[in-house]
Amino acid sequence: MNPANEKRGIALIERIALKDRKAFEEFYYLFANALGGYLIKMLNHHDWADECVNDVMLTIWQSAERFDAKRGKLTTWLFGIAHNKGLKTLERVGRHAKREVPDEWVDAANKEDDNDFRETPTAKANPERELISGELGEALTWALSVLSLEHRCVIELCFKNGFSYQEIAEIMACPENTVKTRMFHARKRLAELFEQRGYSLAELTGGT
Amino acid sequence: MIDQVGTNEEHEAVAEMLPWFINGSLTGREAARVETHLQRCQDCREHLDFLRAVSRENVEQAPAWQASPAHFAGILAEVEQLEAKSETELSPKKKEGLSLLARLKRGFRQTPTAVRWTLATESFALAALVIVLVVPQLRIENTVPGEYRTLSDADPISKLESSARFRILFDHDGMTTSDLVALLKQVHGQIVEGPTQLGFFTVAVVKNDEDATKAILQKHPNIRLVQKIE
Repeated sequence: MNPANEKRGIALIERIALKDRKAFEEFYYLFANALGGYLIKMLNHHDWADECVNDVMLTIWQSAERFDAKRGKLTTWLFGIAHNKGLKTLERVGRHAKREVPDEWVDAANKEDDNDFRETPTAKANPERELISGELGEALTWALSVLSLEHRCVIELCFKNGFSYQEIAEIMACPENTVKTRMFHARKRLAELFEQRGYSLAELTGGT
Repeated sequence: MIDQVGTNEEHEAVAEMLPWFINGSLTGREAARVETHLQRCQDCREHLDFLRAVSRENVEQAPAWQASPAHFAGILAEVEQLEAKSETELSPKKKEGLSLLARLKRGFRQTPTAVRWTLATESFALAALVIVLVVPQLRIENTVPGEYRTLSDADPISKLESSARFRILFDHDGMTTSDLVALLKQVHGQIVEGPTQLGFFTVAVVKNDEDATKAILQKHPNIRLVQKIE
């Protein structure tokens, strides 16, 4: 996360606490893309992500005065709210996010078990394969999308949003070791899925 | 061929930190530990390359969600509804009070601890100063003057240039207060000084009556000595 955004955000949240609409709008444009991007990866459903961003912003409006910069970073607090809203949305809809892959893959990929991964159907049996181009990026996008919820969240928070493992632990409300373990297994799973699609690690890493 | 150095525990610990080594959020010490291990561990170097590729793809992906004026307008409409609802639920006085209280709370939370303590100490010192300076004045102003006066208080007879003065030695055992009061009324006099070390009092009387007064004083059974002061 950009430190300049953090500083600007703190100045804005103080004004939002005073019910400043202009500051609220600026705050929205400063953070909504990052929040929406995270929620869409988490929920894999655009409308749900829209709703969640709404809920997060309303929570910010109502709770701005509760933010205390001495107790932690603004972005950590924000993403913690977003993660929580995302989980509540998933509970409300009663199932994990709809995907563009077969349900059997969804069930396998979303099994909440860090130590035991079931393999997804092989690439040959994947009816979606014809839709996937040979480009590595798309293969990786697909692999990221079939990871479990927790693994997707850790990857997104780490690489897309630049949070430390301590901050991710706070956002996801879990111990730091759990964050590291989830990432470790996410990496392993990604490599497996990637190879299942017929790509070698060497291709992905550019042969290094 | 995998070249690993150190214990398995060290290898696992470093492997777990690789993603955060890539995003630059490790502490200096942690990053140094990873760098040292990477120099000798091919396995971790391969993992690092893979994670870098994942990170690159993740970051370079087109934004999945875009903020928009239409979306914000929807949020703002909900905010206005919320505010309108809370406006109708609160009385104006309560709203003003809450707003001020909310501001005070926020201001207090945002003030550094050292500043808070300084302000508290200064407020206490100021309050103590006010109490010390103002309260005694108020008490003095509100007190009804007592009837007690000292012998040195200015009185009408002693101020008159036409008053005569007598030095008197009373019989302390025989003279009661009521006797003294009756005597002074009789001679139209007032005690203006005394007692001296020898027990003498100075009584001032109206000058016109000084001879008659001397006679009365000399005859009083509880007066041992009378001397006119020239």
